[in-house]
Amino acid sequence: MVQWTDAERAAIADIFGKIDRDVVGPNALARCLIVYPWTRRYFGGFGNLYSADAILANPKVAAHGKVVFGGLEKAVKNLDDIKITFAPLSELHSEKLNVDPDNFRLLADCLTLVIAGQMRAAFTPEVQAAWQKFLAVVVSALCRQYY
Amino acid sequence: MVEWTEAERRAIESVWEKIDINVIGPQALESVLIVYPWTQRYFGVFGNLSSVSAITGNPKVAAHGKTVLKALGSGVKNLDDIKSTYAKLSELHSEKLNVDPDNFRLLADCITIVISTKLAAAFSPDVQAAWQKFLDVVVSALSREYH
Repeated sequence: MVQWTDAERAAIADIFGKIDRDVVGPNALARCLIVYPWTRRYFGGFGNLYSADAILANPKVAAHGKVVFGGLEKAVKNLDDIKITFAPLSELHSEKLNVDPDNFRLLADCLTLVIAGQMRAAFTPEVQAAWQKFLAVVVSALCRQYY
Repeated sequence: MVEWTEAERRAIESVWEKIDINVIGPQALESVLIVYPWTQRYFGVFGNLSSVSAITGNPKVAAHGKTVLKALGSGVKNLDDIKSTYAKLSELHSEKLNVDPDNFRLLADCITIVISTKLAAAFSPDVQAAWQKFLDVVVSALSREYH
């Protein structure tokens, strides 16, 4: 089971306290679709994803970004139980949505960049380490049902 | 050979103009050593790396961070010839320093994150895409002499 130090718990809680939840999710998902264009294949129902501007303005992308962020908020409330918390989502992504799990890491990287951009100097190396550990655990939980 | 669009060239230049390599370099290298502690093994001669404050206060780490970013500048100025630009550094890292090339990607990620904390909204998705492509090409060039 994942062990969290008090410092890590505090750092992660601090991040969620500081960032703008309505911006981070949408921005991170938009970045993923722009920087890693093959990810657009999963969002055929979202309409116009033909350019960076179109993606950034796309209301379905924004809405889904918030859904993704909501998932992260659930994880942070269940830090000691992320595996079980994400079991249904893992099954959904593997069985129904057929998402290549490599893409979870790409979205995680984009989330990190957006949060770094918002927190700026407050995103110290220690905060980065705790955040990246958190995302690695979430990504790992999302990958579990694939096998 | 790598093809760069005009927009990508401009984006990479714009990032390079905006950042202070004497700040970014040290911070990025410190992040790598803190977030990915196994990388400390390559810097045994740097002295005290035993804690976060030791790393962020270590003048050899700071100096080497500046060296790394300065070398990245060679790539920015030779976008069409990155392979040759880094041939000698690639040989140095593989034959003499025996650095696992996976670690180049980790440092590249930390450089990008530190840049995001400095540039914030100016590090737009398009700029991120161009910058990450640039770093991928540099990492690839640094990895070439390994095989």
